[in-house]
Amino acid sequence: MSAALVEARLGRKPQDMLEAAVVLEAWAGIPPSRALASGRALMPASPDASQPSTGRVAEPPPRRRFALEAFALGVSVVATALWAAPLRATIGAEGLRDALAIALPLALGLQWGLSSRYLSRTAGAAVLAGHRAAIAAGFTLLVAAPTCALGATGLVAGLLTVLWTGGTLLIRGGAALVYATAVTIATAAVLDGAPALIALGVLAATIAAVALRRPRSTARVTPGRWDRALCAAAIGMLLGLLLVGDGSLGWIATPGEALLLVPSIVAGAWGSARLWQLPHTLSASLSGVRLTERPGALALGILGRALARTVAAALTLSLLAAELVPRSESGAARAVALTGFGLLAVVTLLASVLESLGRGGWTLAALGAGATVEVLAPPSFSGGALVAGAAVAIVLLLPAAIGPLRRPAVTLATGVWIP
Amino acid sequence: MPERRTRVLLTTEGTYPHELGGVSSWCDLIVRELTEFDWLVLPVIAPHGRPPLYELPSHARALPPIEVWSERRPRRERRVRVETDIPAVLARELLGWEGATDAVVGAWLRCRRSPAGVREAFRSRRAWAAYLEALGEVLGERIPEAGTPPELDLVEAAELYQTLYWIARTAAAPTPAVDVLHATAAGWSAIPAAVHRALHGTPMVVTEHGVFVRETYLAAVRRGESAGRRFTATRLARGLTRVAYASADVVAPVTDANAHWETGLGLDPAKILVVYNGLGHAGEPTPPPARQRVVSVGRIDPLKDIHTMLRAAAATLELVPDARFEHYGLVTPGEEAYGRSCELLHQRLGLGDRFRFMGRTSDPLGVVRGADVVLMTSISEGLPMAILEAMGEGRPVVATAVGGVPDVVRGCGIVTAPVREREIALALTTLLRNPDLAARLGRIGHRRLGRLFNQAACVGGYRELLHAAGAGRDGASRPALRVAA
Repeated sequence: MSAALVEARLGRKPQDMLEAAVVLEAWAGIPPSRALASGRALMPASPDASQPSTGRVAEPPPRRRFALEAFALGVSVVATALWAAPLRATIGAEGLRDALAIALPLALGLQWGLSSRYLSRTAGAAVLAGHRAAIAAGFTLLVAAPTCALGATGLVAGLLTVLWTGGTLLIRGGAALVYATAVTIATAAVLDGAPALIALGVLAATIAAVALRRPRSTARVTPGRWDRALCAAAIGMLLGLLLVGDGSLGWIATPGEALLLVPSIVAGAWGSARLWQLPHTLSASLSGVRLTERPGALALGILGRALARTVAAALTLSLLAAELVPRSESGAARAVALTGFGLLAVVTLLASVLESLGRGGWTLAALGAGATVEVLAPPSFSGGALVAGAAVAIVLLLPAAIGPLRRPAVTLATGVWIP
Repeated sequence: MPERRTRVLLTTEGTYPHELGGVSSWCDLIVRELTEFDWLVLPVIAPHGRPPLYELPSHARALPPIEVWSERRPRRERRVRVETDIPAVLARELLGWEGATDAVVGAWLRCRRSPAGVREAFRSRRAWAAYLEALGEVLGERIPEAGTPPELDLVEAAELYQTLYWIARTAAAPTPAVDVLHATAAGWSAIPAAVHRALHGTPMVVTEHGVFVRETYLAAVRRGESAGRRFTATRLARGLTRVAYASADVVAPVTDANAHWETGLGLDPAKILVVYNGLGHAGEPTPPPARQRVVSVGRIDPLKDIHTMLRAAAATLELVPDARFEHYGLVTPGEEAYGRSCELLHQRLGLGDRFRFMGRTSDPLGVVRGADVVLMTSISEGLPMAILEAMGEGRPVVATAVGGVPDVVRGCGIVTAPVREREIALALTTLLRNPDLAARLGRIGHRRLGRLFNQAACVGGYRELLHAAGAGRDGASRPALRVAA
């Protein structure tokens, strides 16, 4: 009778005597003293054969609004390219070069750091929005400090940093359309003859104000570790340095050349679109695999496909850009520049994979080596230093990304899950 | 020179002072009432960013919580000792049916001596390989009463490895110098206490409100997880409980029913001292409202079996159409799906306004006072405060025979088998149709509360226990703790 009751309640045989006793007490009202004895008596004298168990891994929540986020990013890149000429007219070519050399690494560093600590977490953007005083102080400092140091050049650098960082807050906070609309309107105004510096100031102030007025979350999210966020910020800054470190490139001074960045950015965004599934794939690849078996490298497949998509898209879009964007340099120089930007998209993808696997230290070292090579490379031809620096970074990053993904069990158990 | 006050380290897990609930209320009562002790409260919690819900009195101090499943790293050390056998030892001895509890404590002591080494050890490939080997040994055990372990897959093994890491991190957490250790469950909260006791010989008391192992089994059964996850969760709970029992000088269950489980799990009966929960004695009870009103108070949680409560209500309403049911309490965090299933069942049974979910109440005594009968349909309980509150207000109880409920509701209500909605409905109908009987049972309960389950006796029991435990501090010989099975 007891055995039938226990099996009926569980829909299977009890795991052990304690489970049988718990069922007898909870669902049959048998007092614990008797339930324990009955539970023991229910277990077979000779144990059954072991049955395989499969730990299912819950599907990750779908990432919504990805297309909208990519669109907002594309608008931002194109707008930045179109702002180049009016800004150069205001602060000079050297001034714009310096402003971008400051703003790009700084903004990328902030974006990576904030993403690690807040934005990559569920409700993280809304939780960050709760820190309004800190965000306002940060935006103020980002504009005031470079302005005091460098005057108009610093002001442009600060405003661009606020614009791109605030844009990230809006895009990740679900207001990508608001950001894209504001940038489009401001760009149209500038192209229509509005003073570039004033338009940039109004746009940056608008984006900052909208970012500060985002709804706060009632959810409690524990932010990421400071040391990891700082490491991510350093990775972002080094990627920015790689982008602006090759002085031979004219892309930061002319609008046409700046548009050459679009293929690599679009390719990078498209290529890494599925990378958010990587942690899930790592654990899913272990599901149903016995302790003595070797799991398949599903996660490696995700990385491979991401790299293939990035390279294919960068190649295709670069060929289009090479023909469509007005040319001010030789064909070879343009090809080298596009190659450099494409390689940088691959570097960014690999860096994000390694950072998510908790290998920030190695990523920093690889990017540092790449940036050093870029700076030290002889200026033999335009874009050559960027190609050399990015290539070195890829050579160092690629094996470091492949290795852990080939050993998903070890990587998950001893790395990802032991932060 | 004034005598130094006895310092008590109260270790909690997921309860006081960060969460509301029965255990937290009990902790708050003990800490507030026992003013002669200096209390240090050490919570083990998963990080949630919320501030504590309880404000501690001046003679108590909250220590920084031990955060598990967080991203926080252990403090840096000059000389890190990386002992890669620790995961394997924990797997073998915590999960093994006959694992050695002293080996677990030994491994925990090594974690305590080099907290930074714990992370390094668990991150090493050698530790993972040794762990898999040890886990294979455990899965190969064939002991009749232990059943046959399932063949785990790698994802289940990795999840267990991560849990063992957090157990090791909990063991590695520092504890302050104290005279008595008081763990509030024979689970995670007992880990820092067991380590401290092994290091310093400080006497250790464990209070069990529910039975940690039993509740873990119940949770595993109702979650319907894979056989591997069920196996690892329950075996770990059993392993932690065995270590807690082996380390404790006294285990103080809140009801005799828990004591049966404890002895069944191998605890020496000489270590058991039952200290009943208690309630401040109310004045003379007010007459029942005579409105056929049935009230229940508790979380909306599978352990409370709200489904049976709804079905019992529907069955009762067939016989007593004027009856009205009110349930006070919120859905347990993480059990939102169960909460939705209760709403769906409520709709399907067509209960409408005749059974209302009232949400949280800040006045549990007031809502009980407004009841003619108090209902409880749990499948797991220790000594539920809701029943004591009903007794305090002189209201009869219909409750399921689980845990300490039959011992409490003796002569002051009707006890039924769990899950049997028809039996429960019959008991409710009996009391609703016989108000004289209901009133008499309520009066008996009120008297019984004052005699057996009063707050003064509960607090006094712990006062005596903690004084006895702390009597041997500063090297003086400690009198043996007086315990009774």
